[in-house]
Amino acid sequence: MFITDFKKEFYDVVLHQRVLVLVALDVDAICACRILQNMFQCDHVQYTLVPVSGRQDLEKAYLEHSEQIEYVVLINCGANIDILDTLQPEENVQFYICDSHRPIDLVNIYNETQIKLLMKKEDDFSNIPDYEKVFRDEESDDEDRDSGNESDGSAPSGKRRRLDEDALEQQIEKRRKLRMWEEERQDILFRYEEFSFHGTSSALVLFEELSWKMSKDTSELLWLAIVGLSSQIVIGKIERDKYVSDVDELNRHVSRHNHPLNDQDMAVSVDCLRIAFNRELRLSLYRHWSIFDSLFHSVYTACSFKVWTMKGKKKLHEFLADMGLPLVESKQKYTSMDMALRENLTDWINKSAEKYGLDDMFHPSFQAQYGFKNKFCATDFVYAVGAVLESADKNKSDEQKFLQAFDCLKRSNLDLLEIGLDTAKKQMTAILEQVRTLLDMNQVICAGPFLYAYVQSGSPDVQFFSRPICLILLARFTLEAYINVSKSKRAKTLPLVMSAPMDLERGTSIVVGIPPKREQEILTKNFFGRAFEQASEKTNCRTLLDNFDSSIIEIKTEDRSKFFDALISLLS
Amino acid sequence: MADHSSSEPFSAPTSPRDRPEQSERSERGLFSSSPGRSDLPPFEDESELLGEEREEEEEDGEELFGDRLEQDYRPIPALDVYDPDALDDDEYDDLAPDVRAEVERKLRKRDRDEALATGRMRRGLLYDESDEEEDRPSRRRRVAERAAEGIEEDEEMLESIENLEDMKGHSVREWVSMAGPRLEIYNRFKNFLRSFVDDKGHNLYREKIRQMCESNKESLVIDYNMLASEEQVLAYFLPEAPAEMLKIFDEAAKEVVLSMFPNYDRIAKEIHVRIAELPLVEELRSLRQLHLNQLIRTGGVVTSSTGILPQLSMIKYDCVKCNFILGPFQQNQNQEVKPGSCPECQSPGPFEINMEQTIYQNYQRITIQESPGKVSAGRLPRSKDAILLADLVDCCKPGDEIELTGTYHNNYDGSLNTSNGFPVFATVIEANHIVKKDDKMAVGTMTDEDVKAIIALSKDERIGERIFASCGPSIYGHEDIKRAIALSMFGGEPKNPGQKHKVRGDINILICGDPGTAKSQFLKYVEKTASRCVFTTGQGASAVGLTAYVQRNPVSKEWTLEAGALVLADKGVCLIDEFDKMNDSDRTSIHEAMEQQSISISKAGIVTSLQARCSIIAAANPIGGRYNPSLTFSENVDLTEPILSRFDILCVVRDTVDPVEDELLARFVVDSHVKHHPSSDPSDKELPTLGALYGAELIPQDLLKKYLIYAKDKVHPKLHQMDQDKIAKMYSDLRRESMATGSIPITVRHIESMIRMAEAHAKMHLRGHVNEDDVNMAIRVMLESFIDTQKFSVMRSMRKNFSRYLGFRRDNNELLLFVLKQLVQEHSSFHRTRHGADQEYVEISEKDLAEKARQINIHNLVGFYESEIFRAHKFTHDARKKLIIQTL
Repeated sequence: MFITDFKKEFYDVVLHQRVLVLVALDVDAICACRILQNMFQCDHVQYTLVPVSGRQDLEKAYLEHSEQIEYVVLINCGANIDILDTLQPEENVQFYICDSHRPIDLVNIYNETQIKLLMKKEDDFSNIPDYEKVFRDEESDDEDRDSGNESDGSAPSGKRRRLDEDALEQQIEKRRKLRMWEEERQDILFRYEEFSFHGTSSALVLFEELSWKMSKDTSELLWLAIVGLSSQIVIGKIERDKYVSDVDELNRHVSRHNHPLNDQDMAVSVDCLRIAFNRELRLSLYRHWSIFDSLFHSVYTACSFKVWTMKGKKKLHEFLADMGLPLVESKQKYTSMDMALRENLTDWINKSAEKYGLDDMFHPSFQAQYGFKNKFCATDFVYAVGAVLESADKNKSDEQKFLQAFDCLKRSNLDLLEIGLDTAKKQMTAILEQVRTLLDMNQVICAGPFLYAYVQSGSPDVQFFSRPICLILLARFTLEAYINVSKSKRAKTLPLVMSAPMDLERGTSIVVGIPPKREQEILTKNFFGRAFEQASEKTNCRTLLDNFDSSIIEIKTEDRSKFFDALISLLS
Repeated sequence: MADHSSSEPFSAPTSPRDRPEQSERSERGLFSSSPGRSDLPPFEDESELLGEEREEEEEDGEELFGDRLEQDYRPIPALDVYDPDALDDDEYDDLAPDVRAEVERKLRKRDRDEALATGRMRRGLLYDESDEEEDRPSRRRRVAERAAEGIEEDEEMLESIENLEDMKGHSVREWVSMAGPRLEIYNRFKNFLRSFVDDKGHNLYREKIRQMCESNKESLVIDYNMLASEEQVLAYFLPEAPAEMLKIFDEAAKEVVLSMFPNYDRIAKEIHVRIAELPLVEELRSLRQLHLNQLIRTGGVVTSSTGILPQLSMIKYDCVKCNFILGPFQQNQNQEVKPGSCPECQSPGPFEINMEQTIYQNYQRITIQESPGKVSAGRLPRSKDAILLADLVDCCKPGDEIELTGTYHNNYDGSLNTSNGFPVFATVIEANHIVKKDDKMAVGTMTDEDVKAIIALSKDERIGERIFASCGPSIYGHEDIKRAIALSMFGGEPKNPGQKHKVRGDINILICGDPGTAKSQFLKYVEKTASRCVFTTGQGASAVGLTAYVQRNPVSKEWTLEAGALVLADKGVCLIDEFDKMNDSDRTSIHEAMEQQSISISKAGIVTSLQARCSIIAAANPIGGRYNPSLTFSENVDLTEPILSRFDILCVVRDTVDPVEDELLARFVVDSHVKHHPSSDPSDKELPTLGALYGAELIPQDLLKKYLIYAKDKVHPKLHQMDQDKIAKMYSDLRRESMATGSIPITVRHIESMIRMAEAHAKMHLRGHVNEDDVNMAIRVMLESFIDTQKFSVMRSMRKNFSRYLGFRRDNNELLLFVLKQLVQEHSSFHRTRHGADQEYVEISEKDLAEKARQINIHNLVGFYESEIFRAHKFTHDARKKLIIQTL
């Protein structure tokens, strides 16, 4: 059931209770969790925070922590699975779900008592099927049958035959209606759950509905909401239009918080967080890296210039020469670049970009500045936190990595953020190398209805790719690069399935599927979730459909080829 | 009155009027010109004198000129209209009057320009000028106007000189320095750069400029011959007045570059034009007085170079008295430019150089010496100094062979003056362009297609054998040496655990053998193939020359360190021939380089350590000339244990007598001589026989070189999942054997060698990790080299013990051939001792061969009987009689 007034129906209810908070492992969830934690800390609400990586983890965590807890908050997990079925809770336990995964499971929507959905109302909820079409009350069914039997038994024998016939007809009629209803239901369910996509970022939802409406919002929380939203566009969970409209909303908040008058009066100290809106270059991490490296490793520029070839590299050099940026300076760290060059950089890129076909170099985004230190862009934060969350360190458990990522977001731990940025740079270098290998050795195969590529287990940096977010970034890069390189028109409209070794000891690999690219943008509606499910059922492969995002699964390496054959036959 | 008497033919054309009648005119005659004054008596009637003839004339023919001139302009209505058919008025609309005026103005301007260019008179002289027309005032006024307004000089002002060749009596240098020709040269060169299209149709210089800008360089290389084919005049002027011409070229090039890349001046302030392929190459010896101030091209070897010094190019001075900044003064090569007096305060006083605003440029002085090979017999090479400026600095190091294009200057050196007594100048070459002779291969110049070809080649399964067969293709046999050399050129991976302790990755080889077995040929082959290598011989090298020596620097007069052979071959291969002829003391200096990969120096106050990460391939001769198989290796060769153990692979080459082999070898050598004679047809050049025998196709040499460079750079094989048991077991076996037989001791170094060889083998296949194959191959090579160095008696038993390892990967056919040959040898030696004479053919029963083959696990011999090898070694198989026959 959807909650309209977050404060009354959610916050006041849990205000003096113990709450269990289960958080998924992605950047948006971490930001949302921090916002919630901030609110809880202000009001001294007792809570238990548990990170969960998948469904099994969710069950386990629930079992461990569920004594005497009546209120459970799920952040970025649980909307698209049947909670009551999975967790088997007691009658009085209330679940509050704040999740951006869609489609929401129908049980969660229509359950009035135990499940409350903390989501914004305006997301395309129009395609939720009606209650009657999907659920059927059990009693009316029995009544009909009973009435049928009664009419059978009570009528006198004379009329019995006629009544029998009538009753039989009625029964047949009812059964037919039942069957038709069943078919319709299947149809509706199939269409509803065919594509999985994402709604508004949960950090944004929590910020707007909860902290803003309760007037407890600060710049820090606003920045967290911005980071949460940016993580969605970086990983490609939402489309550009939605991103732009959400950015507009946030912009209103930003201008409210960072009113120019404040600066003049010095009413707000210089050391505070200042957020500004501007049109950012679509170069990842360029403020913390050199311009050359950033141009080299960002998806958009790398694919336009095809920098993995020698010709592409020369073209990139030519672009820099055309802008008038000396090579030596462009390979220098951005913070040490010549001031005159740094100031005019955006202008020059703007002018030269059209000549080289880079029309889409800018996108609206926010930047934060702490005092006089260097500025951070929202996407920088996303990459850094993602890198910390998925770091390849074998000694730390998932929980520890989560907690580290959690700490990163705190302002006092900027050095943790720096470490995260370094790891992010390594990740991006590894991604580019891998893409180059895949394209050079022609390892992106067109397997009928989709493109397929896999990361070999002996390659360097393979430990980066055993984590879902990094693998999705690699898959997107590969798809863009392949589209730029391939000559066949058909191949340009195919989706991509990518697999990488996950755990060498257990012999498992991780497989992700991303939708194809239409009209300059990779789509967000992903049908691979259902496809993977069906393929694994058909072939009985040992798969683990554990992740909350249904297009990411884990499979035993030996069963991989069987699975893909089934997938090919399913989708063609 | 004025009417008819003013019929003067020289007045301006006025409207046709009625002319007086002929009679009246004839009455007065031609000589009455002034308006008649009626009061004067008329002239005498001279008509009798003059008139009659004229009248006759007038009656004949038409009057073109004369009284009747006006008649031409009388109105003739029939002829005074245009032919309506010929008019095209309906095709064109009437122009609006202002448009029409505009058009007319333009036409007039165009006419004026043309007239100006072709030197005719100005139109304005003949016709009236209307007021609206743009006046073109005199040139001086125009110049004054523009100077007043501060506009740049209009280029069109100067007439374009079509015949630049005509120097009007000036010398080339003067002519070029004049403003008119200067501008013309500038424009022509710009045009040349913009529009030169070579025979393939590409716009060559645009491409070059683009490449130059991509790498942020400042030099543009121009081929002299292309310039000569397009603009002969420029090409003619260039060698005569190089300094001025190059300056003009530089400015023109800068403008062209700025037009293509408008923001390039942020990156490079100046563009230098470099001239390549000057047709006339002079020897250093033959530079004479007539070459002074001309552009010349010579070649030579660089012997020494100074460091990079800053040279003043544009100075600004500070006036001490009034702090005014004087300048900028452009410096000249020959003399110092000094300001006379300060413009502000007129003091001639001392001026200081303003450190901040003065611009310096890089300066380096090198000495070139004639290449020793080119000196005429019996003379010593001469040397000359050359000056490198700007971005030519540091492009060559001592020891490189270069070709230098530059201007031959003289410079004034006071000391020469006093010593010689009269003005004699020292000469110096100011370099314009330097080409290094052996700079062809570098990873950066590999194109995408090369990389693709290399990757395609590496996917071949038999790439290993192909590479082995392609090393030294003109040498017959000696597979094991070829294998060892290939592995050494690829090299293993250096490791540095914890930054504290370095483990080397290079493989060292020692080839020891009988004379005449092509050892030195192998070394020469490696010299050509490996990317960086140094070739020395035992006798010609001293310890110091091999490692590093200190030398007194002539310019700065202090001791500096110069590199020796091993240091020059850093990250490359060092080839040492006649290794055993080296002095012991010299040889010990190699010890450290081989294992520790560094050379420590402490002499003349310099205590340091240089890197010497080279692999060493050495060739040696045994004592007594021939290898004696009954002695162990260390007794055969005059080398001590420590140095022997530092070599990873020891190859022994023996010159055995084997009729079949010898015949094949002789055939091969004669073939090779025939084919490779300089005057033979190059299309016949093939070496099919060698490769086909061993079933592997040869790889062309330059592709092999590129493959080497690519593999060494990009591929770094890692060991994981190695079969540790196998190696451990084999190591303990080997050690046991070596202890038992008293030959070369096996040390821990040998395990490392095996690992290195396995990595080198993986690198050959461009694989990122080492697998079973590589390890097995490494073990086999290791064992072979070890067993070869044993005493003969021990060798056989050892071979049997390790047959499992030795048999790896060897083509079954080769193995069978080997076994068969052994059988043949036994038979023939038996026959010889028995009958005392050689038999012409040898018969061996199939059963014997089959039994021996079963011992080494080969069961199927049919393939062997049909193989190329079998036939080539003159064996035939008789299936009926179950015999194998070899005819000698």
